[in-house]
Amino acid sequence: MKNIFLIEEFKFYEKTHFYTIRDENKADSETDLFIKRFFEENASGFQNDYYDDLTLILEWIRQIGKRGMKICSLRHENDAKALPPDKILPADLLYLGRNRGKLRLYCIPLPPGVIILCGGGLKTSQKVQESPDLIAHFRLANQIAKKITEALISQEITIERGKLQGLMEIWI
Amino acid sequence: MASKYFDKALAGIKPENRLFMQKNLDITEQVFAILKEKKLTQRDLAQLLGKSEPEVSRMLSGFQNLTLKTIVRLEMVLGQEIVTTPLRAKEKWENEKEIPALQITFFSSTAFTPIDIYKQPTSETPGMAAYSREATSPKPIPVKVTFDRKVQALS
Repeated sequence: MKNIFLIEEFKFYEKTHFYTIRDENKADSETDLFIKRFFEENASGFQNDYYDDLTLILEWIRQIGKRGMKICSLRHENDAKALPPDKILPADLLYLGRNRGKLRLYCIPLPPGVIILCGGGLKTSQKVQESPDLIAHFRLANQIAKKITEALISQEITIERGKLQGLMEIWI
Repeated sequence: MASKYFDKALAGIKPENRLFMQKNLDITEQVFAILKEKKLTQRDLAQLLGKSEPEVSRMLSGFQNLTLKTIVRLEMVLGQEIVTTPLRAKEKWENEKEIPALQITFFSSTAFTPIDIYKQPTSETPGMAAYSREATSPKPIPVKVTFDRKVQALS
């Protein structure tokens, strides 16, 4: 049986418009589920080593939104990409927890000025295939990326003035 | 529908983390702007710095802890200031804002005639009729030079 994912607005900034995907049977989008998971664990007093990672990923979204996509190179994850950008965190940025840099949020950049955010999780191994928390999100993001590329080629989806238009649902 | 959690969660970022990223990206953006203005690529910059392209790419990642030495080196090879302080910016602004009138020579836009502003302009001075009505003092006309280098008479 196929699942239907709806493409919905996530956050619009001056230079980049962010969309997200939502399983039509779920109340929250994949990106909101990712945020909620790490945000709420922190809010409930649970010692969350990844909360700083989460807020930095969100700050990257804000900065890309305000400054444009050119300011960073996203991680290559087959057909999809991931945040945070593929750069080594400076050792002296010690405000992060001891497990820093292990969160990944998958996304699909569609230049100029559109990024579709997917879900994400914890990367606990060198290869994503060996990270149980992440592999499902990795596969979904890549499937969505392929479908969106096809939809752009067939013009079922178009980008006009930084906004997606057309058939805003993906069958996986 | 917009995100339910994004703004709330983002508000929880540590101020030092946000500031660190912002300042890094400010520098990165400034470098990119200079490269664009000078029609240089990252490869050109790598050559100028004597570094490899990946090193330069990492340097401009927005998450590299740039040392003052690196910033100065960038300013040297690009021939332009990248970072300044509010005090230096104010000083520069004050110096550029007002230039003594005696250093300025007006050119009439109509006749392209140089006008010596030591001399009190009169209604006969080409292009200066408006000024001559206001000029009752023998002092030179004070002028303001704006950031876009246009000269304006201060009324």
